[in-house]
Formats: sequence, structure tokens, C-alpha cells
Amino acid sequence: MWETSDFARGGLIRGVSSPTVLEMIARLVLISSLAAGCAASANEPLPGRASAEWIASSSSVRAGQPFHTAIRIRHDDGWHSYWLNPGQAGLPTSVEWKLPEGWKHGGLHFPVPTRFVSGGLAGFGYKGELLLPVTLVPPEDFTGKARLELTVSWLACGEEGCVPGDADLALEVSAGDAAPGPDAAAIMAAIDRVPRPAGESLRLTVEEVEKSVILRIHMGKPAPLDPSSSEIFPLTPEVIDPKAEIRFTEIDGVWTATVPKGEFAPSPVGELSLVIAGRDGEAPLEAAWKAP
Amino acid sequence: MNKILTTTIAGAFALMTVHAAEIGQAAPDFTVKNVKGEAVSLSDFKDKVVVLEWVNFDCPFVKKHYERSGNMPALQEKYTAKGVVWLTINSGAVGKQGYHEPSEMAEVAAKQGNKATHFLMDTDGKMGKAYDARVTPHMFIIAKDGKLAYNGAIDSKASASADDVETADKLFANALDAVLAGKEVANAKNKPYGCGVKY
Repeated sequence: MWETSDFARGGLIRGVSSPTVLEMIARLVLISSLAAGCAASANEPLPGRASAEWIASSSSVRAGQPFHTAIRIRHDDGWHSYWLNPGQAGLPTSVEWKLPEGWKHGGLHFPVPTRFVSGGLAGFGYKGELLLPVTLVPPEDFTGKARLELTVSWLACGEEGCVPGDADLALEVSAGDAAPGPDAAAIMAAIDRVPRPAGESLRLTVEEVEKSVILRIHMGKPAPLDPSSSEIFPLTPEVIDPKAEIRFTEIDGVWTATVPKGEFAPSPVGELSLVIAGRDGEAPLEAAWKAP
Repeated sequence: MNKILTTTIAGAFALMTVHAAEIGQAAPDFTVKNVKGEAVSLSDFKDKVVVLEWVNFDCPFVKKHYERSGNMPALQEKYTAKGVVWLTINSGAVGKQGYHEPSEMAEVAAKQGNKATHFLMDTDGKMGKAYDARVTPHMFIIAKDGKLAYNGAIDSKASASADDVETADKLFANALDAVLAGKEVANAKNKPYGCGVKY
């Protein structure tokens, strides 16, 4: 898979490394089993409890230039889908690519998630309307038209239970001036919410102490953000207990947080990435640490 | 009246086992009614290997191992033939997803090909909470000495796709083979995948 941080300002995201395409379930079976015993309603629940569309920043693309698009998922009320680290249960949304020859993609990007507790299990994910940015690059010699296709698969869970969903999506594009269309602004806003690598602006270290880990952030100057006023999410699954809130306080100029390990944390902990959401106007960051 | 009182007191003592057992410790005793209304207790099965399988037939991860692959019924058949006591449990509260009242649950289970020794209706969730059963499917193995030998996933591929059953590491089945052979269980505790139990 081609990866770059130039294009999608979301930077390098550990896209979906093992795309597991959820099977197409007989949707009618799901709808009927969920409706069993209930009065038939005018608003049938959507298959997969969400709708998915593929939207683009423009209807035309420039050859060899990044083309910003997004998968828009609209969840039914009370249902959520999952982030790259789904938490105690759940499955991250994934994509199966069906692009024409010569087209490249930068993976499926995930914006900063929210925390929720569903059926007593802590998770990270999304509800309501969600845009998952996808940046594509047409071939250097692209002319004429192309039809791009993909299948997006998700797991939607609510208090009632979990339902897998998927959608076959397509975009028709033509070579042109890539003038921004009506969805361009929303897509760029979504890209802004995808964490980008913190790079040199801060350094994360992780120390294991029995059943906890001590996280330390050494902030560069000027400090890119204030971690004590920011929501923090563990990107690497299992290492940190998904139920734990991550709270940083400054101790001798170093931002420090002590959090419980996850029940299934590897021993020893080899790597950990955190997402620092930032407040309004601050870019969300991804801080990565690897054991020496 | 006295019988009810005794059963209630026994139930209350069972509730006091708040912490789920660790691997290598005594598995919590329980008394739960099966779909036929018969009381079933762990202590009924001294010197037997016992499997606990938490289920919710509406959960896509359970469907993966039942109607879409036949995996779970095949395991049930294979291991009960070797003398393993297999208990399938539903801990869903009344009205929650996957709940059926006992006689209907028996029908649903039969249609799904379930071949467990007993199907337990843990509707008040006491047994599930004693074991900290979190998701469906969630698998436990209790060795002949009554100690917990496995707590974890059915296999290594956390997906709802039946295609993954064949290629996954068979974590639970491998553990059960080890227990039956008197060998040490590798990976005795791991993260189960599935839908949350609907307590």
C-alpha cells in the first residue's frame, strides 16, 4: 500500500492492516429478526444500522495529483461503529479496494473518535454522521474518465446488539481542473480531524510498572498543545485499559499520566501510540513510542 | 416454601463469589436451570472436563460459528463424544437481544444444531457475572480437578466472517485438547471477541 504524509493532511495513519471483509448477511433476515415482536414501523432500520456513501471533493481530478474523498457513514440513532482501536469489543471499519489500474490510495483514515460504553463494555468509535477520509492519486497519464469502486464494511453496535453492515460504493471521475465541489469543505474539515504524526514537536515515553504504564510527554518548544486539557485515546489496542481515562499533569516540566494496563496487554509492552485530540483549533496529534 | 428459601440462600452464597476465578483457581460453582427447567450445578460434574460456552443466537459472531459454518455444533459433538460436559449458556435478561423463554430457546438451539449436554438459562445473569462472561461467544474450560483451565476466545480471528473459521488459530479447541491430554494449556487466557452479553 502506498503511504504518504504529503497529501491527506491526516498524515500517516496505520490504515487497515488486515482488511477483513464482513460477509454480506441476508439483510432481510436481520431486519425481520430485529422486528420480531414489534409493530411494523414506517422507518425500517437500515441494514447494518447505517448508510454509507462515497463523496468527493470534486468531480474532476488532475493526473498524478492527490484527490480527496471520504466515505460518509450515517449511523441510525443509538448505534455506533468503531475506531482503529475498538476497545473492549467491536471491529474497526475496513475497506476492500477495487481501483482501476494505476490508481493509488493512502488507506482509510480515521478522525479522532469518541468514547462510549455499550452493554457495559468500553469502546472507541463514532455515532451520527462520520466522514472517513480517503485520498487517491490518479495515474500520471490519466485522461478521460474512470470508475472507482470499493466495499466498506463496519460493525454497528447499540444497546440492542451488534449488526455487521457493508456497502459497495463507486465514484465516477473525469480528468479536469479539480475545481472544488459542494462536499470539498466537509472533506477538508474531516481531514483536519485525522491525527497527524507529532513528529519533533513532542516525545512520548512509556514505562511499565506492574499493572500500570507511566506515560510521559516531553513537549517541544513551542508546545503544540496542552495535553492536560485534551482528550487522549490509546491508538494501539490492548495496552491500555479502554475504561481508563488518560489524564496528564505536569511534573517538573514533563507531562505525566499513570494508567492501568489493559487486561490483555502484551508482556512486555513493545509499542504504544496515543492520539491527543487537541482543543478547538488545535490539530490532533498521534504520538508513537517503541520499546528500545 | 422451605425449598424455595433454601435455593434462594444457596443462590445468595453463589453471588458472594464476586471475583471471577483466575486460571488455575477453583471455578465458581453455580446452579442454573436448563431449558427443560432442571437445575444444573457445576458440582454435578466432579471429575469431568466441563466447557462453558456463552451464546446469543442473534449475535453475528455467534452466527459465524453456528449457522454460517457449523463450527460450534461440530465441536460440541466431537468433545461430548469424548466425555466432556458441554454447557451452553444464555445470560441475556428478559427482552434483550437473543433472549427466548426456555421452551422457545430449546427450539432455537435445536434449529441451530446445538449439541450441548445442557443449555442453561442464566436469565438473572448471576452465573455470567461470576465468570465475568463478557461477550458471545466466550469460552471457558474447567479441568477435572475443578480448576479453571481456559478463559477466552473461540479462535484467533476476531471477525464475523465465516471464511475465517478454517484459517484461524483454534485457540479454544487446542486448549481443550491439551486439557484432555493432561498437558499444559498454551494461551490459557486471551481476549474473547463477540457481542456484549446482554445482562
